[in-house]
Amino acid sequence: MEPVFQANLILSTLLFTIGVLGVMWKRNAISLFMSVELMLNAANLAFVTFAFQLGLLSGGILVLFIMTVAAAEAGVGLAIFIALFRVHRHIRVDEQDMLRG
Amino acid sequence: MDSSLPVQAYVPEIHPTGLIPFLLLLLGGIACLVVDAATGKEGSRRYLPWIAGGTLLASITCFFLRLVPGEVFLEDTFRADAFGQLASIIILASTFVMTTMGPSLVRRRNLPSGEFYTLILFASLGMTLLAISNELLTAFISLEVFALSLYVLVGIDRRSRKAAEACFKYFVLGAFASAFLVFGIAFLYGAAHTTFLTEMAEVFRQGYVESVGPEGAVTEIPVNTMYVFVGFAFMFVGICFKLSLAPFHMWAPDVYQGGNMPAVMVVATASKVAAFAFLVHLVEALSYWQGFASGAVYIVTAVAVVSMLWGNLAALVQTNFRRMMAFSSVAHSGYMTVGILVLVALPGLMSGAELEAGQLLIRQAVILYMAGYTVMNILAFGVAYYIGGGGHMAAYRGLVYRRPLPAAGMAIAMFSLVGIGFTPPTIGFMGKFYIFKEAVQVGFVGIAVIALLASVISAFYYLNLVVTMFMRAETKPAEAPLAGTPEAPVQVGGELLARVVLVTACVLIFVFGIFPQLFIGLGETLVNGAVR
Repeated sequence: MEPVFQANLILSTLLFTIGVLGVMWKRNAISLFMSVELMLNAANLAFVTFAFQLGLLSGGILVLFIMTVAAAEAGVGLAIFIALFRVHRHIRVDEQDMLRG
Repeated sequence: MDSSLPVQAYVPEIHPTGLIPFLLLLLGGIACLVVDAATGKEGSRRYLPWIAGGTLLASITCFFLRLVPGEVFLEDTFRADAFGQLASIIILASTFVMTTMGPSLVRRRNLPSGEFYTLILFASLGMTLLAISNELLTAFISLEVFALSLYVLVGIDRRSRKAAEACFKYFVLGAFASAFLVFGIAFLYGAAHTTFLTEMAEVFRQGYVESVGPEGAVTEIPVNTMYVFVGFAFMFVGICFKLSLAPFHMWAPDVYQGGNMPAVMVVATASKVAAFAFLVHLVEALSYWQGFASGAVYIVTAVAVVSMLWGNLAALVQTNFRRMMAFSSVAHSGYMTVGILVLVALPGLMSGAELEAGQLLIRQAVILYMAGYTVMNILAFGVAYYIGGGGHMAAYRGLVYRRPLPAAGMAIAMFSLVGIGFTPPTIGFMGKFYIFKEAVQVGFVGIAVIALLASVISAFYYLNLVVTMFMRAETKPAEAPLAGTPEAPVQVGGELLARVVLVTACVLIFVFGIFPQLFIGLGETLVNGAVR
């Protein structure tokens, strides 16, 4: 039980790190958003791991809520990307530089 | 009651009256959608501001009618203490001001009014719930409810390239931040075996979790220190993004510059008040963990100092009013974080009733600061919105000779934002005074000195704006923007309500500045007389 628990936590931390690096390095908005989803799912894995180890039900329920929120976020996010694409004709992050002091 | 009964029926503590102000916001938002669908473009533009504004006022009234219980309700999910209730009222007031600006914005930019007002109400629902939430999952969902609404509100002007870019940046960094927040929640859950902040405080106070095994044997699992710190650090980073604390403030200048002014005003005031109220409740629960202060003090100090200094220094060199206000808000979040710092350190210094009194004082200082910050920013952004000019400093040159009253309002806001030295009768001064006083009393003299120095720096750019307003324009003042562009000025003439709101903000700056106890006493009255 214990090694599995540790391994799951380490996996979840790794996934989260990959997500963070993805947000920092990726230049396409869609890949960037995929990295954010990876981070959210890393957190979900951590929730399930803790819930399983502690024998609590609540962790699993939390995951369901977080997945729902992630879906809502995806809905709004993709709509924003489409709106951005309509006025800019691209969704590359590093070329968003109209706003500056 | 017969206490000899061995088993008592389980009665959930819901306090349904406490939910009324929040249900009102939800129903108001849905009503806006329905009315929009039923009445068409002109009709919805005529009726929706009244529905939205009326809903917000009714919701505020519910707090004054003491419908919300002054403690935990709905099965411990919410904790509406004086602090949370005042924060909710501040949030609702700020979104109300946004609805008063709504009609002119919607007409000028030809925006979809149904979505505009619905999202304002949903955003205020999320923010008020976050401000009083006592449970981490509820907090996360409330945060997402208002964040998703605000992303859209910032970019609701879909034809504007600037708005699209601002909205995009706000969304990407906001989603990034909320992932941090969730990851932090997971580790705190692992540490305390619960997501309720009040239970968490109890677990951290005793230092172990009681776990009932399969045979009914109770074992005491010690709290894992690493999980607490990882959880707090990640949650703090997530909240820092929302509060635009340096070094997580990158989105703020762009969003402030690109978004429409009413939405930016709510992003700058209400969303920060909500996130800050939640942070106060969170830190209060965590600070009971023995040894929490030893690590967290460094994190919080670093963020506060960097925000105060970097925010003010970067604001000095800005040439755009909106970007200047963005960096100024970074600095103001930094000042408020000094209050959080005191909260972190407090349980290590005192205990029992003394501790509770100390925490109460800090909460009062922070809420007074947040009220002041909100009023000052509403006034500044409101005047800037009605002046127009897209935030270019040229629009403010010689303003006092062209439009004396708005210029006077802006000058009052700027003096109050400086908040030190020669501005004692303003709320900006009183808020800072109380927070720094608490910091000095707990022994953070160095931090208080840095905060004062940072305020001195801030005087340069705030007063620079005032000086600009008094300078005679040598040339014709306006490279007058074309009518219909976001830069075109709005005539205040037709908008009596907007004028009333801005004058009220001016008055409140002085009233709460001279009698800060009025505001704090209001919170106590709301809670102590609350219907149970």
